[in-house]
Order: sequence, then C-alpha cells, then structure tokens
Amino acid sequence: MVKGSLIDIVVILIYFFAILLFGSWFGRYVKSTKDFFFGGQRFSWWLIAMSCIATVVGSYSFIKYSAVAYQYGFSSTMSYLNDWFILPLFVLGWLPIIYFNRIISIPEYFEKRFDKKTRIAGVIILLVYLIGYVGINLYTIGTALEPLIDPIMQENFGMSVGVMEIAVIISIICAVYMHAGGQTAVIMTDLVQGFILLMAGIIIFILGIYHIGGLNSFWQSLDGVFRLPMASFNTPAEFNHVGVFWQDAFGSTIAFYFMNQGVLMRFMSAKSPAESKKAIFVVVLVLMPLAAFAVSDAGWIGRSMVNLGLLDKSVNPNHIFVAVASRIAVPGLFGFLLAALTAALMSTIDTLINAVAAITVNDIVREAAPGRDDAYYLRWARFVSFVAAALGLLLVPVYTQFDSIYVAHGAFTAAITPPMIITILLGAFWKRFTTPGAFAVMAGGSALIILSLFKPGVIAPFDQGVALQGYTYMRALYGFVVCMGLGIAVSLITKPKSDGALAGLVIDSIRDAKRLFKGAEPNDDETGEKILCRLMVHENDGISLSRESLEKIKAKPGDIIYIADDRWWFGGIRSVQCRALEHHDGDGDACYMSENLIHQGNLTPQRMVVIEKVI
Amino acid sequence: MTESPWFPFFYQFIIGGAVFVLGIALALRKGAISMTLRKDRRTIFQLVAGYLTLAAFYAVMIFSAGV
Repeated sequence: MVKGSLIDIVVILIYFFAILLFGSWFGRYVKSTKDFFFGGQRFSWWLIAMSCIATVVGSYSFIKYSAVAYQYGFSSTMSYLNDWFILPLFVLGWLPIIYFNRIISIPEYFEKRFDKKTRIAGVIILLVYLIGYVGINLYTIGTALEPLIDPIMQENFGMSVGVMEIAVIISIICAVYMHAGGQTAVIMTDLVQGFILLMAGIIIFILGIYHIGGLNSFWQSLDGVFRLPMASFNTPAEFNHVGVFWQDAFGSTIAFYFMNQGVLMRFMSAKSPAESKKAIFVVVLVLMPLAAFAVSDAGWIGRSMVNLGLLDKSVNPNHIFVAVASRIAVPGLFGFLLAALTAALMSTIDTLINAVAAITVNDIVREAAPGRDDAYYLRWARFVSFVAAALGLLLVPVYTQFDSIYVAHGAFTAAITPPMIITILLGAFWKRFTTPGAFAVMAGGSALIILSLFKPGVIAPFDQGVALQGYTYMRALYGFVVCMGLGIAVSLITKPKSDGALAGLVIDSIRDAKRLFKGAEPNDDETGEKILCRLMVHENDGISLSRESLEKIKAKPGDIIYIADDRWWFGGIRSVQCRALEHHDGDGDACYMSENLIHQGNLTPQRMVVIEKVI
Repeated sequence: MTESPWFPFFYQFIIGGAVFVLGIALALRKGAISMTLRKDRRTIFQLVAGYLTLAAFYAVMIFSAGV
C-alpha cells in the first residue's frame, strides 16, 4: 500500500493552482479565433516540440509503459522510437498542404478535396472520437489516481475522494484555462507539463539507481533479452515486434501526425512550416526517446529491484510504477510524481478540448451562421471548450458503469482510424483519388474493420505468425490493406476532379498552395538571414525595412515577414506576421510598423526585434 | 527467443525504409521539393541523417545487450 503524506497533497494543490493561473494568464494574447485555435501562427519550434511531447504522453502512459517495461524490458520503448519512417510524407507533403491552405480542421480539408458530404462524415466521426476520448482520459486518470490520493485524504482529512471527484476537478481546471487562453494556453501549459513529465521520469531513474547500488549493478541484474531494444518478432501475442510495428509505427503514428486535430493545430501554430519541420525533427529524434525513457524506467528499475531481491516478485506489473515510486519517494516527491501523472492527462485533454472547439466552430457554427464577425466565433469557441469538458465529464460515470461503452469506443476508434488515415493519405498524395473512392474507404473500410471485430479470421492472411490474441495489433495492417484496396479500385472506375479543382490540395500542387497562402508568387527558394532591427511606429500597414535589410533576409515588397521580440525565451508569443512594403531610406537598422500591427503582435516600440522572411 | 535479435531490426528498417524512401521520391517526383534548392537538399540530408541515427542507435543497443 502506498503511504502518502499531507505534504504530497499540498504539492498537488500547488501544482493545480499554479497551472490554472499560468494557463489563464495567456488569455491576454487571445484577440481572434486565429489566436484561439492557432496561437496566431507565431510560435518557435521549441515550444511546439515540448508541447507535442506533453500531448503524446497520456494519462495512462506511466502506468502502461512501466508495466510493459517490467515484463519485456527495453523493448517497451519501441512505440516511441518508430515514428521517423513517415516523416518525409508529413514534412514534405501533408504539412505544407495544411499550413499553406490554412486548413483549420480535417473535415474542412475533406470538403475542399472531396465534397460537402465527406466533410459532414468527417465532422461526425471526429467529434464522436474526440469527445469520447476526453471522457476516456478523465476516466483513466480518475481510476489511476483514486487508489493513490484517496488513502491520503482519508487519513488526513477523513474524507473519501473517488474517480468522479478527481475527474471534476481536473476538467474544471482544463476548461477554465482553455476558455481563457485557447491554443496559447495549451502550448504554454504543455511546456511546463512536458518538463514535469520528463523530470519525473529522470528523478525516478536517478533515485532508483541509487537504491539499486549504481548503474553497473542495474545493468548486471538484467538478462540479455531484457536489454534488447526490440521485442521478439511475433511472440508473445500480447507484445511482439511486428504487431507494434504495424499498429504503432504506421497506425498510431500516422493517426497522430496526420489525423489528430490537436496535433495538427499545434504545427499550424508555428511561425512557418520550416519552424514546424524543426519542431517535428526534435520531437521524433530527441524528445520521443527521452519520453520513452521517462515513462518506462520505473519498470526497468522494478525488474532490477526484483532480480536483486529488493522488491517482492509477486508485484502486479500494472502496479509497478506505484510500487517503485513508493519505494524511492520521500515526502513531497510522491506528490510531485502524482502531479506528473496529472500533467500527462491535462496536457492531452486540453489539446482534445481545443480540437473539439476548432471542429465545432469551423465546421458547424461557421457553416450555420456564416459572415458574422470574428468576436462572435471566438465567443462560440470559448463556450464549446466548456461544453467539450462537460460532455467528457458526463461520460465518466457511463464508462464506470458500462464497460461495454468503454469497449465500444475502443472498437469505434479501431474501426475509424485506418479509413480516416487512408482517406487523408490518398487524398493528399494521389490526385487520381476520387470522391466516391473516399466514400468507399470511409464507409466500406469501416464496415470491413468492424467485420474483423466479429470475425477475426479475416485478419489471418496478414497476421505474419502472430496468434489470434495479438490480432488487435495486426488489425491495423488488415485495415490499411482493405481500405487502400477499396480506395484505389473505386477511384480507378470513377472520374477524378480536374487539376484546377485540386490546386494546392495535393502534393503535386504545393506551389499553388503557397501562392494561395501569400496571395502572390511565393519567394521561398532562398532562405535569408535573421536580422535585428529597432522597431519604430509609423502609419504603414505592413513593415518597411531598409534596402540592405531586405537584401539580407532575401525578401521583396509583398513577401510575408515574421517580426518577433528579440528575447528568444518568449518563444514567439510577442510576434506578428505582415507584408513587406517598399524599402525606406532612413536608418539601416530601423523598421517601421503601424501601431495596430505592433499591438497585434504584443511588441514594444523602440525595442530591438528579430526579423525573417516567411515566404 | 528463437530468432536472431537482428531480424526485427532488419524488418523494421527495410519496410520502414521503403516507406521513408517512397515519401522522399514522391516529393521529388511531384515537385514538392527540388534537389536544385539548397534548403530542400538540407531537408533531405536531415531526414536521411535521422534515419541513420535511429538505425545506429538500435544497432548499438542490440550489440550492447550481449545476446
């Protein structure tokens, strides 16, 4: 039994209060729906990268991956280290398409690429998925934290805390700071939460190694197979390499980067696609390995402790995180580890809430009430943030009482993910892909995957030796093959859209997307320097630079320029994008902008600013 | 464990590598990037370097496991 103390509760309460104030504070930077959903397209790569990691690590990651690590060893990291293969498709194709088309939601892309009906289907599927997922996250964090917090509360305050109470507190905190700060609050709180998650993992490892007696002792206590970074190819059915490869490297990774509305919005909030590219490179190559280490190391330490006789070998793998944490924890540290578990949840759930708001406002409210001013849609976005949290909360008792609903949502997710992924991939990378083809993939593909839930035998040709119990993993490969087959077959017998109708929406016409984004011929063949200039107020509705400054950043009048406060640690929160005007003949280091633009970018006149060309 | 610990490694980096190369080839063929532009050449270099880094990381880990 875990023995927490009053100081642990104090640490958690301080964390809750601090994150609430911190997130809400960023409400001052939200002046439009563009700010609310995309943080004004101004952020630096390191903010995007860190917040992505906080989103990847879900509420159950510490528990789930510690258990896998305890049972199977270093191969628990496989899921976090196999994302690189799809990066060319994302970075060179999908990212520029959505960024330059200013796509707010996946359903919006579906209407532009296919038709209105496909958009409606996308809205329904994504909203059911996202709201259900908000509920699942609240439910899982409630069930994970209840056995840890309840004994401390009973001992110190004589009161009991259940799953629902924990879910209510967390959903209120998330909804309040989301209501105020939108995407900016998501990114900034996720930055803090990402650090907390990684720190928690590192602290567990350091203290664990200390308890074990040093790194050498740790390494020697583990057998060779345990130390392998990849699992056995197709056995056991519950955890094997080929299953994780298809289900995770392709299924989950493509879903995360191509379909996850919240993650797409994160990359859309970068100051440029080049900055998004930097962010994703750092995420996949640096932060994902760190996160894999952070969520797994309690399991490795646990196995080492069991092998050395420092921990009872009958410990349940699902409890290994708590067992190790309680062994090494000192008063206050256990509270910090609980705060890390909560941070993992909140950073996932705020992203989901923002995604629900984006789809609802963009795909439902704007369609139902077009032509209203931006403040009207912003009010809706804020309202929907509360509604999304409330609906997720209402699902918690449903999940608690009816296991079948929880399982049904899991089955629904398994059924819709491959069709959505294939629709996006074929839509973006194959211009011959038709609207009837997309319909066939979404309707027929989903039906065939649902069939595999009832008749798993249809997966047999794709199982690669994995036993029936492992078909949950191999269903992803089956789903990809049947969906792609349907999409290609139907597209080949139906008429595709003309090249003109697809301008900017497929990989063949990214130049068109850039032209649409800029409203003129793109100028991005050469990357210029970043320069420092002193910001001066003028009446220009754009930015006026000296001739030499324009030459240094390789920009021409009409190009889109990014201007940011010279303090890098703001991460772009004080910045704005605008067009370059004709050069001025004054001081070479001066740049001139209107008061309105300076206010929009939260910049300070007379201060030095960093200037670079976007396109 | 009956198979070589290198089998999953080659499976992952050959099949994953095929998808990886397909992505780059598609972008080049469709004109999304161009080898004549320095920034695009740098992006391809970064992608390939990342792929090789991950492969090297896994290889070192498999060697270190001592199986």
